[in-house]
Amino acid sequence: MQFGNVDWWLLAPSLSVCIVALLAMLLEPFLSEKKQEIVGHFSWIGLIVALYFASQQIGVKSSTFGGMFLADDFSQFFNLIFILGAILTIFMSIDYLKKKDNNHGEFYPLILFSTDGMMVMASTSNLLVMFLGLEIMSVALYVLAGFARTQLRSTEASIKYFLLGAFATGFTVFGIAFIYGTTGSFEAMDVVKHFQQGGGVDSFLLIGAALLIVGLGFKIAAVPFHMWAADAYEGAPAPVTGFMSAGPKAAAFAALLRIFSFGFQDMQAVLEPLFWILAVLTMTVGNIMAIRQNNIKRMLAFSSIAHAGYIMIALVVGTAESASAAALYLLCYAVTNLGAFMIISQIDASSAHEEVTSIDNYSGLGRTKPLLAILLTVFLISLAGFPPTAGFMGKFVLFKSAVIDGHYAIVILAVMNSLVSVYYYLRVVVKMFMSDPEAKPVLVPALPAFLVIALLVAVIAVFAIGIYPQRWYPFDGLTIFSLN
Amino acid sequence: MSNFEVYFPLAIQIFIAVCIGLAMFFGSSLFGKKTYSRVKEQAYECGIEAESDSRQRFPVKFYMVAILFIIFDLETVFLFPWAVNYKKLGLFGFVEMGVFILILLVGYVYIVKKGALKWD
Repeated sequence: MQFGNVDWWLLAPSLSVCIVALLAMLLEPFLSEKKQEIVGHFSWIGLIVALYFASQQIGVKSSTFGGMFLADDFSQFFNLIFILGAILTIFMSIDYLKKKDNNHGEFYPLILFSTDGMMVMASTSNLLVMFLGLEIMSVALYVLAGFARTQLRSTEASIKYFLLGAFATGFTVFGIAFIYGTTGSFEAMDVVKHFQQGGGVDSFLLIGAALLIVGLGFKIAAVPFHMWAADAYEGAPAPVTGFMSAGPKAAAFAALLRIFSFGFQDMQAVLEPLFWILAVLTMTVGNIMAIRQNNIKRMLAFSSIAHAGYIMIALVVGTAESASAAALYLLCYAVTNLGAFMIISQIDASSAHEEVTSIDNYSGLGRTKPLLAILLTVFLISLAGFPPTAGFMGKFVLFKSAVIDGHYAIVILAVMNSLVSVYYYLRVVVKMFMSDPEAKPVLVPALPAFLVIALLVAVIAVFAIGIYPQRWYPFDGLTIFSLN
Repeated sequence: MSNFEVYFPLAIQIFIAVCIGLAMFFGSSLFGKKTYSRVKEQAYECGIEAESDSRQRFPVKFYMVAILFIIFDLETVFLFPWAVNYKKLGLFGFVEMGVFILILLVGYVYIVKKGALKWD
């Protein structure tokens, strides 16, 4: 479909998400307070349409808008993560918002706008377009973090996330400006050209790269840019926290991989020690801080920091194999973490105006609500990386790609870190199955239909990737996508 | 590292400029004469006497109108260049601009229905 030199068909997935978001926003004020969930239903149906368009494009490798918008294996795989994450988030939010007495339809367009921003981010190697996507994603997220606006904690999360996020944005723009100053182009792939034409490791290029690492490192919550993560994850409503740890993290990693593993591949030798230190710091600090947490959302916030550290191994290695391994890891992490947050939001929904997210609230859950407890155990075990779950497969593929390239030390450190993480994941499991219910146990509401569907999708995905990964991931040395 | 050499004179100039500024600033506070009086300590606002503290709460609707004004005011910034190049951009430009206005219209309908423009 051509009109004005633009191949609109390539834009179909992200354009459909954008149109659905606008229509959902238009629909919202015409509905009474009790009918707001219709916006949610409209939104997930629209996302399934977008998923259809995205699936129709698999195998296409093309670009439009003068090369600024790309459709390749890389963007298609990440689009799958984003759309799936958004659908699961909407499924778990429809009843959560009602029970939390916070039933405002704006929630769904915001999720959609954010998803659209992520899709733009993953579908370009142009730094300016990437930045545009980053902002579309982030601005919606700042609002979503403070969506429970009567709750002080939620407002705090929003403000902290916004102020630090805006600050990090400055670093990103500054980094882009330095790279533009050196190569004369916003195209990350032109850095490759810069080296081909005999340009060396320019000091300004290095400053630009460092500033971009700071700006995007903030978005993935890499240590030492992780300060916002714990408070933002803890304060935001449970489904939003799940959404934040799935999609936006994957989008920021998509941008990092595109820029550094593809564009800056000639500078890998210079940047490798930097990524090495960042990765080890991130996984270690994340895991050690998670041990002491008594709030399950805060614990998973630190666990999410630790997982960002594992995924950063792909940036250390910088090969096509490791980039696709990171993509698979992000998919595994997204479904697992969203699954865990479905249970958390279901427990949290037992009180309309109070947060029910302390780990103590989970004691004896194995007796009072065995199904929820077993499902949460599955997701936590997947996060810890036990077979036969997706979490194991993600770690295995990622660590394998690092070992093949000869990075033994960081893999040993990562495996040791995973052992530490087992302690705090299993602490929740022990609490659920081996301690008595509290004197006044939480009154967990009945499972709503949409949450059941979402849980089914998450559990099936966790085991499907964990048991039969060949179906989703080519193991014979091939990659989901190739460099260039 | 040739880039740094090119900018070296600039760095010296910035350094000297900062030094002069700092010297004037601290010089006047070190050597200057200081007098304080009640009138001098008062806030000065165009010669009008201050009525109360400026850090007080005011209705959020002022803020709302200001934000909405900026959104719809900036619209014209994009419309003017399009109007100048209207013939050159042709049908494609017209459709693009139509989509742009349509998106803003969605926002407009939303704020009207939400009652953001009602003052009371």
